[in-house]
Amino acid sequence: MRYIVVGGGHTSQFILRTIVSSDKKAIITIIERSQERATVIAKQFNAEPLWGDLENPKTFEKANISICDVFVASTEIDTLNIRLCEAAKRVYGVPFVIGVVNNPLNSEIIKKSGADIVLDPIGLALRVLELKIRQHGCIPILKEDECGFNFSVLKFRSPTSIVEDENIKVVLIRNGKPADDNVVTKGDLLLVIGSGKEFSEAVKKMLKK
Amino acid sequence: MISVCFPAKNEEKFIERNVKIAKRTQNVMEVIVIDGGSTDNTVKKALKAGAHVVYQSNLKYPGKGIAMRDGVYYARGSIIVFLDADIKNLDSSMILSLTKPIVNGEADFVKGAFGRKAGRVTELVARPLLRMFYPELISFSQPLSGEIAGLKSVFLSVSFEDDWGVDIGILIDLYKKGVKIVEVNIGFKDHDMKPLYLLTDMAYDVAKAILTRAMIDGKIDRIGYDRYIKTIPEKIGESK
Repeated sequence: MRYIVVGGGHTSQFILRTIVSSDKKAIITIIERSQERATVIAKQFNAEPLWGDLENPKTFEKANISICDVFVASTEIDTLNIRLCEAAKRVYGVPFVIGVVNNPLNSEIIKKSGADIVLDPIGLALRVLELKIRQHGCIPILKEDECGFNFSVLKFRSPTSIVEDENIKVVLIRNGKPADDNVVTKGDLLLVIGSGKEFSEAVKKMLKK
Repeated sequence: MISVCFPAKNEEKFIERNVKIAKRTQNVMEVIVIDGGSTDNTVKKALKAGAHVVYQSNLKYPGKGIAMRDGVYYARGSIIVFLDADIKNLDSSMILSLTKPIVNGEADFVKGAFGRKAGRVTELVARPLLRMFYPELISFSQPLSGEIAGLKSVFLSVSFEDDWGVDIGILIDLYKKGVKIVEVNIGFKDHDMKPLYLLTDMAYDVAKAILTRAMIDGKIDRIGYDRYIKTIPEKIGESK
């Protein structure tokens, strides 16, 4: 298939990796404002580099946008991606248009502008986080190997007594201050810090209690 | 045709009124609010008043320059006007004053000046540094004014600072490119002044924008630049 990828930043490079690894016959054109960046990135992915004014339709016509199958707008500027998707879909009738948003709040706007698929990395991560909170009430935020100790935030739905284990340190926070008692009620924040492999077991034990 | 852009963050007090006024101004084809992560009713009120709302690509603070750049790419008009969202007494004449020199072919970029004394960052940071490095721009009475207008093509020709340095950065860059610039008086601007402690970052960003350009233009060497940049925040802090 023929692909046009606009933007040579962080997200674009991962999109290009995915295209190259999943479509061995991909014909890719990379469009960038800077000649240097377009050339360097195109070389990495065996693509055709093109540079120029991203506001000018001629730049896209040079890339043969009218015969491209997939158009990807993945610059670091959401509003530019919105306008690029709009032009790709409505002016050039590209069959498959993908738009990247850096701010999840722009998802709906880019969809309405003509993007068939919206790549919203932050929005996706937030939906996973929300789901985890709703389903489990306990989310490991950092892994032990990332910070040297385990770090979890727990959410309790009913009053629960907490008992400290030798493998964990528990701090109960109520209204932004450490609480005097050890009964967790709705709205409290419980900070559990521990180290070693026994951490998960200790937390499970504490939750059962 | 004119696009009016309001970079905004928690501006629910005046946004609805200001969008409505901008919308009914002659030749204004669209009003765009670029929201920088408001937690109040700014977005709701802007939409109610008929603005297009888009969200700043990156919510870092300060991010006025990011919001302005986003506005430029979203705008469809050939002339773009930027206005602060917190103006209490905005009226159509301000927008017309800003755009008139462009419509008449007398300027490609217009800086708005208003009838009050220039701000503290202007007097204590921007003007002394401009006098040192860009004395040609000292005639601008309010070089940091957020009320500006320009051809879209002109805005697309410069790179925007992300932060409070954006306005002075645009002015210097366009001056260096030889763009026709004029300053017009847009009358009295009524808005709340920031408390002094909130001006440290702004002063830093403005100083950085000017000094960076001075270094690029060979007016200051790297060692001197590092010395200025590293000491300015401390000096501002000490003077508070």
